[in-house]
Amino acid sequence: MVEQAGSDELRARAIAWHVRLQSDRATADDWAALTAWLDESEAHLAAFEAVETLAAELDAKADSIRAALAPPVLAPPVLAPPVLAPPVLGRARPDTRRIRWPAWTALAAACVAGLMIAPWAWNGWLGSPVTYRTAIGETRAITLADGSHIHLDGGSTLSVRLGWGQRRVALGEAQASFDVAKDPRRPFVIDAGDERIRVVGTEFNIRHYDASLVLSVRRGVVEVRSPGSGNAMVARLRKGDELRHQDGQAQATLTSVDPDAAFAWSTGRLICSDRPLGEIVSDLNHRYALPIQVSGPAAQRRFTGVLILGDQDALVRHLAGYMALSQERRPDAIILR
Amino acid sequence: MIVDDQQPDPVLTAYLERRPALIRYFSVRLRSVEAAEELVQDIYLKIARRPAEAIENPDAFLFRLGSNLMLDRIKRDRRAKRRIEAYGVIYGSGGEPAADEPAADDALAARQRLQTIVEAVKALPAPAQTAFRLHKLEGLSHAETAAAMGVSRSSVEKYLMACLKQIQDKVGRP
Repeated sequence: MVEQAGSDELRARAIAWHVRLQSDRATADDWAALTAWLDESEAHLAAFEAVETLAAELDAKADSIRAALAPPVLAPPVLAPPVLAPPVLGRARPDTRRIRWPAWTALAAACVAGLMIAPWAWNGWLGSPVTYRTAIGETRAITLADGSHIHLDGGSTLSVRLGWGQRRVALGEAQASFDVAKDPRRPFVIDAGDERIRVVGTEFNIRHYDASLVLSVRRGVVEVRSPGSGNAMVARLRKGDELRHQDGQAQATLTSVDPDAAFAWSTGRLICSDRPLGEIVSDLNHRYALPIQVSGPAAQRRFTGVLILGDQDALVRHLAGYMALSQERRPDAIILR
Repeated sequence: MIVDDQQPDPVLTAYLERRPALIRYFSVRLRSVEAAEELVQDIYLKIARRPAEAIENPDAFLFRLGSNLMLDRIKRDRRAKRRIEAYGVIYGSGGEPAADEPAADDALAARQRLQTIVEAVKALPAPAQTAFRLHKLEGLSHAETAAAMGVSRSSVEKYLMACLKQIQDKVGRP
C-alpha cells in the first residue's frame, strides 16, 4: 500500500520524529534512524518537510503568537518598594475589583473545562512586574525575594518579574550589576534591547545606554540569545568575557577584559581602558545632574585611567587637564572641546 | 574571545566524526549529494567562526544548525524566485507594476493564518498549551520545560506533538 503524505498516521509519525529530534537528548543515532526513515519513501520526506516548515513558521511568528495569546498585562507600578513584594492586584482602585469578579468566574469555568491557561496561572508563572527607577546621580541597591542583588546606577530603569517558572528582568536605559542567586529551576532572563541574556547563578554588569549593550561577567556563565532571530545563541560568556552589541545590528563582539573594571562604578570609580571620550561622558551624564557635552573630534579621543566619581568639578578638571581639553561652564552644561 | 589551545573544540571533533552522517542526512533532505556536501561545508564555516561557547550536545547542535541553514536557503531561493516572477510580469506583459512586498491580499491571508494558529493553540488542553508557550514561544529546552511544569520530558514531548498535530490540522499544509 502506498502511504499518503496527508494521512493521519503518517503525519503523526513525522511530528513524532520532529519533536524527538528537537529534544536535548537527541543523539547521532536518532538522526541516522530518521535518515533511514526519510529515505524509505517520498511520502515520508514530504510529511517531514511539512512539519519542519510549520515549526519554522511558528518560530518566525513566535512574537505575534505570544502577543495574541497573552492575557492583558497590568501596567507596572511606577515607583516600587525597595524590597520586592508583589503588589496586591486591584488594591488601589475598588472599581477594578468589581470588574474582575465576573471575569474571574468565567475564567474558573474555562479552567474546569480545561480549555485555556487561566491568566492567574500565567501571571503566577510570569510574576507581577515591579519597576525600579533611579534619578540621575542616585544609585540604588535592590534585594529581590529570591536572594538576588541588583545594584542600579543613576538614571536607570528596569522592571522585574519573579514568577514560579522564571525570573525575568526587562532592562530599559540602564546600567546595573547583578549578583544572581542560583536556582536552576527558575532561569534568570534579562531582555536588553534586542538581546536576551540568560543566567542561572552568577555575577555580571550590564550597561545599556543609547541602544548599545555592554555585558561583562565576573563569576559564572551567562548566555546571550537573540530573540529576533529564532532565539539563536549569540554567545556564552564566562568570567572575564565582555560582549558588546548595538541594537539592530547582526554582529556582537566578544573580548576578554578585567571584569572588575565594569563593576567599578558601584564603588564610586570609573575604570577606563582605551575608551572613547564620548562613551565615557555618556556614562558620566547618568551620574551628574549637570550634563557634559563633548564637541565632535574630542568625542573620538580615547582615555585610559581611573576617574573618581566624586565631585563633578574635580572630575572634569582632572579629565580636561589630562586630555588637554578646554572646558566651558554654562548654566545648563559643561562643554569640553 | 577566549580560545583554549590545550583542548580540541568538542564541536569541531563532533563535526569531523559526524561529517559522513551529516552528508547522508542532508543528501536525503535536499535530494542531492552535491547540495548536501555544500551545506555540510557551510556548517563547518559556521562552527569555525562561532564565539567560544560550551555546547551540551554537539551532535544535536550540528544537525540542527544544518537544518536551519537549509531552511534559510529554501527561504532565500523562494524569495529570489518571487522576484524573478515579478520581473517577468514587468517585461512580459509590460506596464504591470511589480513589488517585492507581499500584495495586500497576501498580508490579509497572513493575518488570517496567524489568527487560525492562535485559535488552534487556544483550543489545546491547558498542559499542552503551557508546554507550547514555554518551549516554542519562550525558547526553553524540553528539559527546562519539563522542570518548570513538574512533568517528565516524555510528557513534554507528548504535549508538543499534540500541539503540532492540532495546528497542522487547522492550518493545513503550508
